[in-house]
Amino acid sequence: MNGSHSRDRILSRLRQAPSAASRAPANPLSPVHGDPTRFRQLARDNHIHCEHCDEVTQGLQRIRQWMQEQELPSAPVVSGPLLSDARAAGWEPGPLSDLRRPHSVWINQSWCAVADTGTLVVLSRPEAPGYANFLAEHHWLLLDAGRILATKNDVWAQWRVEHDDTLPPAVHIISGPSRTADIEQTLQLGAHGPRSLNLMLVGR
Amino acid sequence: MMRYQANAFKRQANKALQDTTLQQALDRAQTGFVARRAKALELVDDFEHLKQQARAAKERALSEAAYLLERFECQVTANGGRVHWALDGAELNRTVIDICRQAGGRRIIKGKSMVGEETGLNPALEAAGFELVETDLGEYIIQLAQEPPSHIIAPAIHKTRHQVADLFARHHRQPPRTGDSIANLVAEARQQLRAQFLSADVGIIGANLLVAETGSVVLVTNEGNGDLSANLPRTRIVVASIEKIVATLEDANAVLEVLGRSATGQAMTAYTSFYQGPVQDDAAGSPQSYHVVLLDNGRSDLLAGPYRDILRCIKCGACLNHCPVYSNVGGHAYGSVYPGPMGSVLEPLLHELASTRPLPNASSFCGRCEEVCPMGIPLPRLLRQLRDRQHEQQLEPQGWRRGLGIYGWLSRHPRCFRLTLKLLRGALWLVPPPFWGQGRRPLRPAGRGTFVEQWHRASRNER
Amino acid sequence: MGHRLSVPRDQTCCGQPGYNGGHRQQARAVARSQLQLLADFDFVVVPSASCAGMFINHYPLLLADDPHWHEAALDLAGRTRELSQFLRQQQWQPQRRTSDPRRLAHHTSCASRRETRSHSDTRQLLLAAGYQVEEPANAEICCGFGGSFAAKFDRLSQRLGHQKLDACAALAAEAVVSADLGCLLHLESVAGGPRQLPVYHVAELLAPVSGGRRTP
Repeated sequence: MNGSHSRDRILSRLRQAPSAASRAPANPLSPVHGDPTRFRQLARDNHIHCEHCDEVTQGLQRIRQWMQEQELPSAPVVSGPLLSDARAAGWEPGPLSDLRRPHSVWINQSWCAVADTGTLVVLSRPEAPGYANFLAEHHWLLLDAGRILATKNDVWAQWRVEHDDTLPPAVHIISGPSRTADIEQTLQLGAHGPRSLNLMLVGR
Repeated sequence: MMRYQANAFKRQANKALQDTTLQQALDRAQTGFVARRAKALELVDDFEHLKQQARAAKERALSEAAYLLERFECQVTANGGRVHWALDGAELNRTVIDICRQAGGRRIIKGKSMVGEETGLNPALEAAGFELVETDLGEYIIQLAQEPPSHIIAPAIHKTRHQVADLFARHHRQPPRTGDSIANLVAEARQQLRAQFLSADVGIIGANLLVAETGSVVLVTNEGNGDLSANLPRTRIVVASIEKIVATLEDANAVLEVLGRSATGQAMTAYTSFYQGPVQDDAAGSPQSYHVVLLDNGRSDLLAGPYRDILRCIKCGACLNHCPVYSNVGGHAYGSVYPGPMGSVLEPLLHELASTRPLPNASSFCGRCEEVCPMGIPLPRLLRQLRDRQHEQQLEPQGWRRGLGIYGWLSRHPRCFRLTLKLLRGALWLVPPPFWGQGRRPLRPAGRGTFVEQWHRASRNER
Repeated sequence: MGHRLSVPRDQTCCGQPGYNGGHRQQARAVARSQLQLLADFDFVVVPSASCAGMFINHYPLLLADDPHWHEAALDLAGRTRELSQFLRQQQWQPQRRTSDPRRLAHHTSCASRRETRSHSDTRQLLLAAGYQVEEPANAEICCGFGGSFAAKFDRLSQRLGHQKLDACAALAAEAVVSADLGCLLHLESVAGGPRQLPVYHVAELLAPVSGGRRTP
C-alpha cells in the first residue's frame, strides 16, 4: 500500500459524507486594542513577572540589573535587532549556544500581546529561532506597550494588516513559564523550559 | 509491560476499587481537575457562547473535511513540509519508521501524542531499533514504569510521588536525591531530559489542531517539551488524526477558548504554538526536514454515520474528570487507549465491538459527561447506540438478553405484568433478587400489594 | 387542587430497561403502548424523575423515525411532569408545617438534574413544608444506580452509593429524601453500619402535611 493510495481512499470516504455549505465567517479586518491594565493583571496571574521602561536600552540595562539581583552570572543571549541595542546598553551578549548552559537568560522581542488572557506572542525568525524561547532557563520578552491587542483573534487580524497571509514558520503564544502538574497534580514551574517568564513593557 | 484488556473491565475495575494508593491518587486528581475547571468557567462571561462557537468551528470543519485536509496538505507543502496519509495505525507506524530511517537518525524524542498511543508507535519504533524517549513528564514516568497512560491529558495521574521517586532512583544514574519533594523530582527529570533534547535526531509530536488555511499544526502544552521536541532535532514529525482539522486561524482560536479551560482550567496553557513550516535557523545552515502524518484509522467511515458527533472530540479530558466511573476506577481499568466516556464511545468504533464489550455498558447514564463536554457531544446517546449495536450483534450475555426480552414482553401485556409483579412481591419476601450483589441488604416490599393495587383498593373503599 | 386523578391499572413500565439495554425495538413497542394508554390525560405526573425524563426526552428520540408516533411522543412529553415539578407549577401549599425535626439530605438524582431539571422544585416543596433540607457535597455526582449498571457493575455501584451516603452523613443528616425511586432503592440497599440512614421519596414527606393519612 503506498501513501497516495491511502490519501485517495481517505479523501474519497470523507467526500461520501453529506456536506453542509457552512463557510467560515469572513476574517475580521481591523484588530482591536486591549486594556493594558487587564493585560498586566492577567499576565501576573499567569506567573509572568512584569516591569516597565521608557526605551529599549533602558530596559536592557534593567534586565542586567535583575540578573545581578538573581545572581545569574552569565551574559544574556539576544539576537537580531536587539544585538545593537544590547551593545548600546553597554554589554556583549552571549551566543545562542549559551542557551544550553544552566542559568541561561534569553531576551527576545514579543510581537504583540493579548489582554484577554495575559498572553505574549512571539514569532520564530531565522535570527531568533523558536527553540530559544523554550531552551533558556530564564526568559525575558520586550513588548512595545502599544501592541497590546484585545483577543487572540486580533493577533491574526494584526498580522493580516501588517503582512500577507503567510505566517512565519512558527508563532508561539506564551502564557507563562514552563510548568507541570504531572506529579500529584501539584503545580511546578520550570518543567523543561524557562523557570521564569519576564516581561519588559517598553514605552507608554 | 502491564497488560490490560477492555473485556476484562469489570475485573480490572474491581481490583482498582481495592487499590488504596490508586484511590488516593484518583481522589486528588478528580478534585483538582474539577475545581480548576469550575473556577475557570466562573471567570468567563458566557461559556455556553464559547462552547457554541467551538462546536460550530468543528462542525464546519467536518462538513468539508476532504477539502480542508487537501488545503492543509497544499499549505504544508508550500511551507516546505510534507504530508503523508495513513489509513490505519500500521501504515502510520511504517511511515514514521521510514522517515526516521531516511533521516539517518537513531535517537528520537517524543512529545505527548494520543495518536501515537493509538497506533502503538513507541513499540513499533523500538522494535525497528530506534531509541525513543517520551519527554512529557507524565509520559516519561509511565515510559519508565512500562505502563500505558491512564488519562488522556495526565498520563501518570495514577502515580504518587513516592512511586515516581522509586522509578527515578531505579532508572537515573545519578547520586540519590535529598528528599522526594515534587520540586526535586521535577528538577531531576528536567536534568535527565535536557540531555535527550540536545542530542536527539528526530522529534515526534502530536497535534491539537490542524489549520487548513495556513497549514498550521497547533500544539498546546504546559511544559514546553513538545516545542523543544519540535524545534531542536533536525527532523520533525507530526502525527495527527484527520478530525483535528479546522478551517481557519479564528476557528482554531474558537476551539482553544474551550480546550484549556475544560482540560486544566487554564484560559490558555503556558504554550500554544502554531507551526507552519520547518525551523529556519541562521546558525544551523540547512533547513529542518518536516513531516506531517495524517491518520484515518476508521474515522472517515464515522463521518457519514450515527457516530459523527464523536469526531468533534478535542481530547480535553473533561468527561473523564467528571465521570463517576472513571474517577473511581482510573484509566487502566478500561484496558483501552482512550478511557472514560469518550473512550468508551471511540474505542468500540476504532476496534471491533466484540473486544470492547464492557465499555459502552460501564456508564450509569448520569449525563455528567455530556454536561461538561465543551463540544456538546451527546456521549450517553452514543453509548446507548453502541449498546443497540451490541444487541444487534448478540454480544450481550444470553441471560441479559433473555431477561430483557421477557421484561419487554411483560411491559406490553399489562395483565401478565401485574401477575408477575404479584408473584415477585411474594418471592421478595423469601429471597433477595438474583442480581443483588454481596454487601447489599435484601429489601422487603412495603404495604399490601403494589402501589397500583393499593390505590385501586383504597378508591373502591372510598366509593 | 381540583384535579381528577387516575392511576391507570394497565400501566407497566416506561421501557427504559430495554432502551438503555440495547433493545431499541422492544423499547419502541413499550413506548407505543404507554403512549396509547396515556393519550387522554391533561397531565401525566410521574413520581420518578428518571421515568419522567424517559417520557419527556427519550420517547421523541426513540420514535423519531415514525411521524405519527413521534407526534404522539412530543405531545406526551409536553404533558408529562415529574411530581415535584407538577406540584410547584400547580402552586401546591402544605396544609400545615411539618413537626418532623430531622435534618434531611436531599439526593438530587441525575435524572432530576439533567432530564427533568426539577431538583430545585423538590427542595422548594420540602422547604415550604417546613423540613430542614440540605444538599450533600458533590450533589451533582451519580449515586451509582443507573438501572442495569447497578447489576452489571455491582461493586462499583455500591462504592458510588457509599460515597453518596457518606456525603449525606457528613451533613449530620438523619434521613435521605429524593424524587427518584431507582436511586432510593439502591441507596436503601447499600445503607448499613454507620451509613444507616432511612430513605424517603418526596411524596412520603409531603403526604402528611397535605392532609394525607400516613406519616413516614
